[in-house]
Amino acid sequence: MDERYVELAEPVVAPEKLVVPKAKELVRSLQADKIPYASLLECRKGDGHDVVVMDLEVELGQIQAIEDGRIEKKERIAVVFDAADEKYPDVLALRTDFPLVPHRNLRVEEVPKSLCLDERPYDVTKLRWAASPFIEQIRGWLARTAKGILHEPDQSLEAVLATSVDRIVIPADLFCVPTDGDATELLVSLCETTPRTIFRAQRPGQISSAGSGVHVVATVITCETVHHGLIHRAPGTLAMLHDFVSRNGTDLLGSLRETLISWFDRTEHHQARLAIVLQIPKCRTPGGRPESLDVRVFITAKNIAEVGEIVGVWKKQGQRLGLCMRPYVSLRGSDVALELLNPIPALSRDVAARMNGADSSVSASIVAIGVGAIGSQVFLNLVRAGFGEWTLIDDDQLLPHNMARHALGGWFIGRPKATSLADTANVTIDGDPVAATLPINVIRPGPKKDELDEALAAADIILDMSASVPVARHLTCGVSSGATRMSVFTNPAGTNLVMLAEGRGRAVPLDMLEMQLYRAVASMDELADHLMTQNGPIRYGQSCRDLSGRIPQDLMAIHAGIASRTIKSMYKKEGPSIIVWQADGDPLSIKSIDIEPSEVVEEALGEWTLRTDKYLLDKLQAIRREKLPKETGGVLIGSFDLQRRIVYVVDTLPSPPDSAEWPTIYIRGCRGLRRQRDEIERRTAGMLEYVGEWHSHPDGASIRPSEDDIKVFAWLTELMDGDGLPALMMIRGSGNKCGMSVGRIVPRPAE
Amino acid sequence: MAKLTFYPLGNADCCLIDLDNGKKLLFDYRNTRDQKEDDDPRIDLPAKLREDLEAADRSHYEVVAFTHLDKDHYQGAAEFFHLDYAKKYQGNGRIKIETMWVPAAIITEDCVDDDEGRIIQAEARYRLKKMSGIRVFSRPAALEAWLTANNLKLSDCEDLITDAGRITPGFSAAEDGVEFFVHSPFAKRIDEDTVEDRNSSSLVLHATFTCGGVMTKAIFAADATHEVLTDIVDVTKNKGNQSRLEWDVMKLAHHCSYLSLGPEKGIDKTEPVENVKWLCGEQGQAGSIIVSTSKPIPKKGTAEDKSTDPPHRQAASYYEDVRVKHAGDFIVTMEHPPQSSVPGPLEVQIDGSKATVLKRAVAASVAATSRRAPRAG
Repeated sequence: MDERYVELAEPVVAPEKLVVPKAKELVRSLQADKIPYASLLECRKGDGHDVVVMDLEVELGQIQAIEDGRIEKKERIAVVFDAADEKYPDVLALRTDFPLVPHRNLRVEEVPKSLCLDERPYDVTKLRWAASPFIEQIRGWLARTAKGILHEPDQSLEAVLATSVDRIVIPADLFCVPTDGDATELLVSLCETTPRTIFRAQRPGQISSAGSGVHVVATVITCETVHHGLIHRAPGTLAMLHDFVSRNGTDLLGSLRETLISWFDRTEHHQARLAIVLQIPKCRTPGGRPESLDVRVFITAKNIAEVGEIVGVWKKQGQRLGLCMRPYVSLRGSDVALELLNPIPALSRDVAARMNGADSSVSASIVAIGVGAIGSQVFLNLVRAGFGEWTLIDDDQLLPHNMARHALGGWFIGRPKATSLADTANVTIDGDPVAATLPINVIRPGPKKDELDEALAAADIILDMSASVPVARHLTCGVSSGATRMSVFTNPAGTNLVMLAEGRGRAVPLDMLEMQLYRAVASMDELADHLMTQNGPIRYGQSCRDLSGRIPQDLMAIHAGIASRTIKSMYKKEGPSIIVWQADGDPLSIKSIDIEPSEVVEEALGEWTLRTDKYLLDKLQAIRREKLPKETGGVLIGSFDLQRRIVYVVDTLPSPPDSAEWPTIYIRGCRGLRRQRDEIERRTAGMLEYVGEWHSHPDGASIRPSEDDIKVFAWLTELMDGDGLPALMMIRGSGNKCGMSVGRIVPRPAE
Repeated sequence: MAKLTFYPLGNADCCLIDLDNGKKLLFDYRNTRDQKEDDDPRIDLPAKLREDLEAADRSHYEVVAFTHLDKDHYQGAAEFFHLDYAKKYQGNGRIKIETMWVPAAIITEDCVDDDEGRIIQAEARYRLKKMSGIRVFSRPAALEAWLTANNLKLSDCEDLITDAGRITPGFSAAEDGVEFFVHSPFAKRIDEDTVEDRNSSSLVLHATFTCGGVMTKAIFAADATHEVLTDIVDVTKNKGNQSRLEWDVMKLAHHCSYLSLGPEKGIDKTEPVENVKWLCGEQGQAGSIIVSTSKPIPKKGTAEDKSTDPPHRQAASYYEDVRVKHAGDFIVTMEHPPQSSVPGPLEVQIDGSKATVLKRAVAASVAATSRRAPRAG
């Protein structure tokens, strides 16, 4: 027996007695001289494991980067192979004075030392395990440790203190902001014990889905910066913890005594258990800048009253505690047992954003209207990306059929969708609440009107996901707010997603973007089916965005994903956008169609407002020029909002072939006109209709209605009046000149 | 990071020096392998060097040093290198030499008794006459006669000549991470008026590598005898240049010949002369590496042991003592790597931990893609 090496307990056996396949493979390779710089020494066999002992030659420079001790040219290594092959083969350096170096597995017995070869899970490394590379990995570990390059420059720093397999989720701010000994009241609840024990600590008032918890009061203690490298076993008592951190100049007991004294009057804390959240800043090179933080949580078995007594800050006098004049510093808490928990930070907004690939969370005040199928999913997508501070407006309650396509699950049935989603968001994201709610109807807010107006006025973004034309119209025309509006909805079949966004400049309001979308639906072949359902066109008068149809949730999830992604990329864009995404084919593919928004032209005409755009005026001008010197004209397509007395005019149909076109006269024909009008109404599900007439005037002529024009207008008045609609006539002259008339004209009685 | 690669060539020298900035220097060249003999354990040097150059995407060396005109330091060079002086040694994938380093003898010696030696000499002389692509190691005045005979002026060629005791121009610690100090050929002062040129001596260089602020030193002792080494130690000590004899890597002189240690072989161990003992014992650093570019050390009583040719078991026995003293390595090129049946190149990496003998197993994928696959049926 060589005294330089640890004598293993397992008995030596002949190599052929080994049973674990990996051990056998290693021995076979060593015996066949297949592995350079390695020689087999002996095999041993334990209960449920095989051991292979060998001498490895190590590649060494003349100088080593190890402070205390050296790696030797020849190191004796034992590899312990688990019979079930469920854990990484344990690699033991048998030399008794093998140096204390980083990247070891912490063991109760530190001799022999166990080398930590790979940070990947064993299931991953197992796929490519072979004896020869395994030995190279061990030799590489030894060689790189000697050169001080085992720890890669891009590898995160080594832990200073061992962790526990038991975890505790704590508020994320305890991981970064030293709170200077303030009492952080936490309620600790046990989430689960199998396969791992996980606790959750929340501040009182934070919404928790778990039951009542153990009352724990935490104090945060920040240590002096430690040079990373060696990992240490966790101290088991308060005194041992103090001794451990005092090596780096941290007076843990001193800080703790001060904190406890300040809690003397807060008797409500005294029966709670004490949690010490220990923050250990680590640096990569000695004396370097702290680069990261180890955080460990130690919970005392005893309550705060008892701990205070044990560390000498107060004494029990009858039923009450009496503060000591001066703390008994000789009392060090050696019988305060500590339970180590491995803290996991709750998901903060910034971390959520980073995990979503962004640099940081985005602060934007968003009022979202409508959190149904698409809205709920878009909302949670963005919350999970740390995007926005939200106010959710929806007066609906969750019903079973909603859950086919809603982000909320069954435990919210019957509850308001808005508050349920806000609660979900606020327990998902740690820190200040990210969502508030107004469970009201946005059009009829009732007594909450002031609250609603305030929220809308303060918003950066008003996000309409209501799938309702009246709501979108109301948000555009009936709400006073500088916020940019966005509207997200799908078509009735659920195949297309539409996003309308005003942009920060708000040059084209949402209602006009909507009209321009309908124009595209009426005219673009690829959008011909946009408003169709499987059963043909939806009934006139039904909302074109009615979503109680049969739409698969997977499509809805895709649309929600596209919408949330686009909101993130577009919320800062200056100009307006109209985008339609079409899901089509098997396998599915998504195509996006960008529709160019057009500048709004608006004219107030008596009690009416006429809203059209540059696109239409240019189109009319082009038709006029083509026919010069003759006059021409046609019918106008658009929509009426009788509630707000707005006429939207967005398109025209070509002058019918039976029209009479003369240099001073235009008489519109009607051949084929009815069919074309019907087609537009069908395609747009009635969102676009016949709204009036236009004709051109020659160059140099006035755009004021002529005598004949007034007769036409009177004819129109009579015609439209029957439906309760105003007459509309436009006269396109040269250049920018365009005469517009809306309303009623009763022909003057003949003189 | 720099690297020295010593090739297993039997009793022959070839050391490739890779610098951190990509420059490559070759000290001596000898292709010893018998191509007809499949079992010849000596490495196929030209193939190996070509492989290395191809991997680095180059076709030249910055420097090729011929340390002296003995066959074991140049054999096969006329087939491998592109020689400027004659068309027939050009093209065909020959490897170019930016600067040739030679001791003065290669220029001045009159009776080179070997064809290939004369070719190398012709190339060296051609380059010197053209006054480019060459560095001659000598006391400048010692070359004057030859220069005059060839219608050259010493004053025109002085930049191409480096005397002992100087740093070789062209390399610096700052630019290349290495400087080369010249120990030999040298001039020995007999008395106040007489200087004796040891121009017949081989080129002995001392390299100081600097990596991450750490210096690593190597001696390339060519074929220096104990007399030459004694003089080198004397001269260097006189000039106070002892640090130029410290070493972390020593390429032994003359393939582990006892004559590089002392005059007597000894029965089991050669007793070195005092200066050589000082050089080996006192100047070697902790963990230093001794390299014998030679055949395996013969076992006592074998035919090889009785041969007069190096390596000598008795010399090796002394170097083993030196190894133990410095807790270092003593590596014989034809016995490296120790566990392998076929010797392979000895690679010494020079980095912040000074010199490291690389002990790497080649991954199968690398091995498979660096050589031709056997013919498939």
